[in-house]
Amino acid sequence: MAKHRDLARELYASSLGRKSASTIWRTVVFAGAMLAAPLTGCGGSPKKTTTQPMTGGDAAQPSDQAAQDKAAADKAAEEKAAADKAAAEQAAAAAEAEKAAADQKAQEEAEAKAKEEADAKAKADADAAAKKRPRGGGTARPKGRGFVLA
Amino acid sequence: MNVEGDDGPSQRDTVDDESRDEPKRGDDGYEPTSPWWLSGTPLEAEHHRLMRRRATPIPWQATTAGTLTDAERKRLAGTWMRRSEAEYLAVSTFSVLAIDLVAAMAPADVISLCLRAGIDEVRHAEMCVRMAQIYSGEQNLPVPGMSSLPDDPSRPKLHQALANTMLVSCVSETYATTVLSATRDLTTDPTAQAVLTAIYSDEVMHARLGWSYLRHAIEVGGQGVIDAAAEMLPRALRGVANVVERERPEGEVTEAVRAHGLMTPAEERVIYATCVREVLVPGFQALGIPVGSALEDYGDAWAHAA
Repeated sequence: MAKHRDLARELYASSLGRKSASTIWRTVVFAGAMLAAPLTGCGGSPKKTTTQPMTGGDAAQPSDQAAQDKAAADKAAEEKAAADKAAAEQAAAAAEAEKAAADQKAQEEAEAKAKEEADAKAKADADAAAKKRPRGGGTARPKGRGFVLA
Repeated sequence: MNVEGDDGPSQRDTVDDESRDEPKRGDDGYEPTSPWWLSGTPLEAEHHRLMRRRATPIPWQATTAGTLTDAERKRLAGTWMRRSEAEYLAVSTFSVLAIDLVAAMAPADVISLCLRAGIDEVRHAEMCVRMAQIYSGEQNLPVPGMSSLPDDPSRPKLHQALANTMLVSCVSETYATTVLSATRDLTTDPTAQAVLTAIYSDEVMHARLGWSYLRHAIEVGGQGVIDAAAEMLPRALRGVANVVERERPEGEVTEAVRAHGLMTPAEERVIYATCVREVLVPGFQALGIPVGSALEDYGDAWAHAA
């Protein structure tokens, strides 16, 4: 009887976890790393595709009716644009003068600030080089984690 | 390894397998798991909304804990409390891993899944705390713990991210799925079974995340990544073995206790060795990563050492 029990225990031990391992191989490892195209080898470039930026002309697929509507709208827009243009030019000239003055002032401030920041950054870099990364860990061995079973 | 050959399962097999393992998720049957643990502020509503999205119904009232002896309940309370601590610690682990992945410019899907894994671990911790409460009758919080993932600023960020992904995801979470799958097969208590199933179904994706990123990293970084992975592998395997070898709460693992989702430490060793031999080593080898003495280190001698 004892022998039978030992045998049963041995058989159980040898199969323990095998069904689970088989399932996990398929659902985790195979599905995670191998379901896509086969690994092509080391250093292969990642897949990339180039696309053209979408423009109004590319995007629009007008029907005949839409084309007629567009022509009428264009004509009205031309008339409105002519009137707007004169007003816009006047406003632009005023804005440009104002912007030039502001730019001059900003440039002077930026130069002073840049010098100040460069000095501060040089000091911060020197400090950071002497420090460990804040998230820590260092050379400590991993303590391990995982589902605690018992 | 010919990954599309006869040795491996078809895509259909794999997807079907997962869908069988995936319990129904969503709003149905959601109830706050451990409401006493929440902040008592309006954030709670958002927390519930977040948890509800991936919640699985757990039959909390169906527990058979009342049929156990005091000693058995104490043993189970101790283990579920330790599980809650491990799950709570995993929140910070995935958070730190996410930092490494962002630093290495990991693809967006890898990062989003990693961050979601952290949220999953919050839910797992809540479930384990409630399980501990079922057996002990007490509302206890897990002891605080913080991730201690290795950090080597001298190595490339890709290698840093890869090394910790291997430890956390490829090895630890893959082992977790294996042991959870085996454990729930012997669990008959409906509440414990549902909790283990819910955790298991999340861990599948947590583990898959690592294997996918490992493959991506090899494609991007080539031989340097393979070398870094080979260097990390023994440390990762040892890190999880430390968990398996750790001392356990006092108390016998009776048949009744087993029915509530516990295995003996000896059984865990066998399962880890099986996982190394039949899942981890073949997986790393299939990706071209040398496995060194992994099979010898965690072979029969180690499995039966307890």
